[in-house]
Amino acid sequence: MEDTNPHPPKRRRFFAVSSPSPPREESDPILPSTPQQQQREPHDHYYHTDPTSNTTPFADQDEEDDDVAFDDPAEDGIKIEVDTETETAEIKDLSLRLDGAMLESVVGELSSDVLRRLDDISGGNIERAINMYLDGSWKDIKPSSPAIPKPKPVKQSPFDTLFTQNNSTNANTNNNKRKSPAGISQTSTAAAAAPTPSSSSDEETAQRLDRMPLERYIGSFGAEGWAIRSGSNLLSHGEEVIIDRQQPQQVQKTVRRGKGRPTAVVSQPAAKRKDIVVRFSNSRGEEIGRLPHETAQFVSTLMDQKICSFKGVCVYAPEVLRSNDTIFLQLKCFMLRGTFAPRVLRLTDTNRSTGLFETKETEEEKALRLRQTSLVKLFNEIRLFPTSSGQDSKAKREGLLQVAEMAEEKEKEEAARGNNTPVRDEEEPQEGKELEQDQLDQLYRKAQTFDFNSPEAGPAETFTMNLRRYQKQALHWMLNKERDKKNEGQTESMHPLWEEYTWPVKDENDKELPVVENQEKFYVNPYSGELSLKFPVQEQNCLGGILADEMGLGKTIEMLSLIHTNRNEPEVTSGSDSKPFNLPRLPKNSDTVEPAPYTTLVVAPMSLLSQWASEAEAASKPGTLRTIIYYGSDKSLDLRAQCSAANSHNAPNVIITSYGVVLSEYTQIANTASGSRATSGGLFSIQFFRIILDEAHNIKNRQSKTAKACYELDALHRWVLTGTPIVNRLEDLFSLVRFLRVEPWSNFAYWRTFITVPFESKDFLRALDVVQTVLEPLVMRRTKDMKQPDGTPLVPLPPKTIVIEEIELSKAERAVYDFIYTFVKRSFAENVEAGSVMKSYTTIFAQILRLRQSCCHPTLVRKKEVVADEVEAEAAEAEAKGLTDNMDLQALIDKFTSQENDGNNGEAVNNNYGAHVLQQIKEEAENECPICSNEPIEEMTVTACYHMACKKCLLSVIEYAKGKGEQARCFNCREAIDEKELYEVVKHETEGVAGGGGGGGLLTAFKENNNVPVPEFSLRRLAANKSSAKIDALIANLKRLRREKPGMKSVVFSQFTSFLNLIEPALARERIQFVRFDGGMSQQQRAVVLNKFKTHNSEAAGGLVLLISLKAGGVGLNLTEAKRVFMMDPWWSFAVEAQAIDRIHRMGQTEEVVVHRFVVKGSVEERMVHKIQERKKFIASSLGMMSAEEKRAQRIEDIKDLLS
Amino acid sequence: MALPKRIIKETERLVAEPVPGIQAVPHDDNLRYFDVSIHGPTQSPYEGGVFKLELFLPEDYPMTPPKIRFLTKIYHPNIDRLGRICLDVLKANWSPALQIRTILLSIQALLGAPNPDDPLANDVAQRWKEDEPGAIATAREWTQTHAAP
Repeated sequence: MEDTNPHPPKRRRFFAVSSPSPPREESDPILPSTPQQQQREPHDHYYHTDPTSNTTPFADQDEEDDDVAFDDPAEDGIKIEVDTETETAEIKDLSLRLDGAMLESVVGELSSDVLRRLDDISGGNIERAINMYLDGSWKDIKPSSPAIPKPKPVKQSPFDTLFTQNNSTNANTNNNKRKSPAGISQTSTAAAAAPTPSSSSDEETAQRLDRMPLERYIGSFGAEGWAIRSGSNLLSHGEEVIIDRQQPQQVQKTVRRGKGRPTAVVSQPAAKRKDIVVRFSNSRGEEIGRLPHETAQFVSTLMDQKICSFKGVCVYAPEVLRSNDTIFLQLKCFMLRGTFAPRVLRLTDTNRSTGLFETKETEEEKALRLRQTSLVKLFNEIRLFPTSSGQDSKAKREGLLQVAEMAEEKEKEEAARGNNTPVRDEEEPQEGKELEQDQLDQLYRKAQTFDFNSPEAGPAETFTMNLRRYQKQALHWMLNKERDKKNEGQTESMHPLWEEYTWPVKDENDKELPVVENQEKFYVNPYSGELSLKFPVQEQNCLGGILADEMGLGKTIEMLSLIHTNRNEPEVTSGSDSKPFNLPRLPKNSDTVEPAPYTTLVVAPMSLLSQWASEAEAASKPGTLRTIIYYGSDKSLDLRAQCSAANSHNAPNVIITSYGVVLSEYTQIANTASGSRATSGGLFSIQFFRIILDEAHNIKNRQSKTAKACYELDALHRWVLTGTPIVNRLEDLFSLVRFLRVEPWSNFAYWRTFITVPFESKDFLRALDVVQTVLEPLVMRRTKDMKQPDGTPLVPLPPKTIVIEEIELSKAERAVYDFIYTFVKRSFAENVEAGSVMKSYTTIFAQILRLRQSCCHPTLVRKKEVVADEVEAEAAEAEAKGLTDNMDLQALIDKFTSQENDGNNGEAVNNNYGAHVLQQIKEEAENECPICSNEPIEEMTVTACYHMACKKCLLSVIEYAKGKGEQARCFNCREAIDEKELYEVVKHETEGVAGGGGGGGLLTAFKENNNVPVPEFSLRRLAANKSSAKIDALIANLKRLRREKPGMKSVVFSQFTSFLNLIEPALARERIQFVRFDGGMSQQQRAVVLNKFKTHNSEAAGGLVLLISLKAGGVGLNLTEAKRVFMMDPWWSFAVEAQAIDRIHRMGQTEEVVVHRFVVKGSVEERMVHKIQERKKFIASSLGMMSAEEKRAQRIEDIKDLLS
Repeated sequence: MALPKRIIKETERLVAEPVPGIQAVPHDDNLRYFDVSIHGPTQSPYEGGVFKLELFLPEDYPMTPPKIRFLTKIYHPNIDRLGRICLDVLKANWSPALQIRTILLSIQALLGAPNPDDPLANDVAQRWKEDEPGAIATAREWTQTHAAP
């Protein structure tokens, strides 16, 4: 039941062929005994038929040997090194006199002390040594050495057992085996330097450990064993009873060799069977019976995992004993010293070194669970209660046992379901329940208690930007974290998971126990089963953290200031990493990762790469920060060579890459046979000085490949940036913590026990309390609406106004919309009736999509490429065809387009307008609209009788007359007027204008006092310009903007890139300059566009419009250059739109931002905005990170609302 | 329902640059509802009288004309006993380019130039045609009785 994982991978590989596969389907030791197990027992008994030789090797338990604590190098942390070395030396010495290998092959693995002593007393005679060892007489002879040797009762490696036949190689194997884990442990100590406590505290722990006796009494309890043999006077009152474990296979072997009873008693880590049999024998070594099942359950684990040893005293046994008689025993329990050796290393080992691409966690988890339940049960039995602990310990214990039960049940379920099918990235089911909004709020509130008086730190000189006060505070905090300074004024408090226990001062008979100096207490972590003699301080051992400032507070800038301020300073790096950087090393071909002491790796979503680069540049004095983007073709660099310490003068300071690159390199390495990081020469071959994950909620799913890839990136300092550390599950946070390698939270078993399970069993407060203790030292989070003590906001942002503009569809548009609406509604109702809503989800969704598109522009409905950016709907394209091919609809759309074409862009406008007409138009242009009194006239439109008004007003006059069945007449001269005889006045910008095309104006006025004729304005038939109501509204807005605030930049968001395609010509026609940014563009193209938008000089060249697709540009970008936002179409939840708006309304914005949201009146859009978005306001999951299934169910609800 | 910009502008102008002899004041609780008073034009039977009217701007104003009615009793061939006015620009000849101001001016003009050929109050029109001086006298009389300022 020892878990196998602490052993580093190398060793596992070495024995891969012969080592027994870890038991999976075997009966669980904690489960009630199964028939299978009952059957097995007679066999065990059979192998023990030689009672006379059954003398126990450790009759005298008090005389413990020194070696016990150290017999498993992998488990015993710090002492390993010394132990292994002396041992190796010892064995060499011995080889002259006694064949250690031979000896060990017979009696099992021996410690060096024992070997030495056996050698001593047997005088080198191997036969004698074996006999003495087996009958125990060797212990009675006073040793010459001060150490009291003793056979190793507790542990035998499975590998020894396997290799016992092979005498000649055994010794070597043995040596290798014992050496290699230690050696590897050492390397992993170095690699895991960051989270392990500093070496001085290690020493302290070691000293403390040394002071502890090898085993120390903690209590006793009664048990009713049952006899397995008959006879008289086998056991009498007060007689000592030896408690041990047995190992069936081992027994078999020793018996076959005719050497009597088994020597080593403890089961092996990889033992095939996980039995829990605990037997007891009388002082003569005769096996008497077994402990009852319930007791054996935890006793076996405690013994197997070498936490305790037990000694029994017979309280009552019948004089004539028969099988199955009850024997009353009192069991005394002793904690073993080895138990208290720090397990940090072990944990880190399992988290880090279990081979790069293995996902083994179940075995480890199980061992942990057994350990913790056993401890809890033991403490219950011996009535040992914590002298101090955070919570009601009784409730806590119950909780723990409950967790264990749940885990078992789950395990069974899983077993029943068969093997876990490998899950695909992104698709896998997520564990954990979603948080309710109020819970989330509470959590954040707790994490947000930011002290505004916390100290500040100024950035290094090479950093050029001015930091705000709170940013300096963040810098101070981050520097502290990286330099691992404890915050001043913080008292050392006990780790919340630990409990303090007092060693008993009297034994079960009320006799005084020997006092151990300065060790009155010990500490237990019932959640991990860890024990310690040292006061467990809540450590801040992660040299990084979570910077969770809300969007727009300048996380990037804060991080850049850190990059500048904490650059590889000797005390930072050498303190925790023992490898000197200045040693010239050969980067190639070495199997370890190469330290890159000057390099910070930034992982960000692709769209942000260039932004990071430009901000890094802007924030640094020229030449002080070498930044490269590691992406696409730029990836050809050999990072290993570039970043190595030897290349200190040219090593990049900042490497910016995307999650995609990390994932693809990870997959590449995973696919190579060796799985070696080093040979790849990529991101994984380097230990960076610092890693920053931007928008870190990208790794919120701990099972996604991206997350796993990021965990494997190596660095001294690890940071994550995210505005939402918890999106909707507590597990989201786990993934971040895991990436940060915050011990012990990065262990999922640990996390589960302490957070997930209490949370799921409705113990929210406890779970959230713990989450808070996790978060507190790790997270810095400020929100935009935080107020400083003086009442001023943290970041004074200019105001933001959101205007919903209701759009009235034209008749032709309305006809198209209504048609689709009726169609969709009917089809949905049919599906609801047939109960096939979920099945035909894609169809329905595609239809709704069409409906929404028809609000934007009727022709969108026809276009095939429309759905290209709507991932969910792609599959539905075919089905949606049924809709578009419909003849009636086609006719309607044709009607719309015929009107469109009617105007025939360049059709001649009668040339009978004289110059005076133009003059008149020019004059009237200065007036207000006679109909709506707007001044100046919006979208000046002229009737055939030369009277001018707003386009909208003229159209409504005509519309109104039509409605009453009358001939529309000019408002001025009462001439009959007609929609087709309206002309739009197109004013021409006098500056050079980008984007040509459009405009069939024939009538042109010239500035007369200018030799070069510059067209001032021309008339264009209105019908020619007919696009869609929405586009018209947008154009009207943009034109007004151009008039009122010339040179102002604006951003136009739409979900449909094809809609952007339609907007483009409309802008071009109006000579409005624009650039475009969408998902279909390469990284370089994007950078060019963003750069153009940013640097465009509006003063000189006029305003600029950025057309951007909501999906590509909704997150992360910084577009504070713009002051106006146009949202062309509503999304299902406003949060997504708000995100997009915050690209503009964020830190750095200097002016008021006005947002226009276009919503078609009396359409699904209206319902989306007023019903669905309203409803979702409070759902944190609105960022679209639910599972596909959930998403669909929710969408269906939405659609029901839409069509109601 | 927000008041259209046009109504606001018109109201502002009526207050800022009032037409001589015409007053229009919107109600506080309904800005589409105006109390109007028109002075009778000089050299007309209505001279010296101040006539009260009510004016209401309907929802689709200025697409539809305002609704106007005399509150003060008046003896006029184009105004009936209920105060309703027969005026082409208030009906078929309405144009959205017309405004409150222009309409009230038209009404004032109508007082100065009654048109018995397009009557609303038939008995008044009849008398106007048959006995114009008598009709004018009656009108003057009524003005004194009902429209004394």
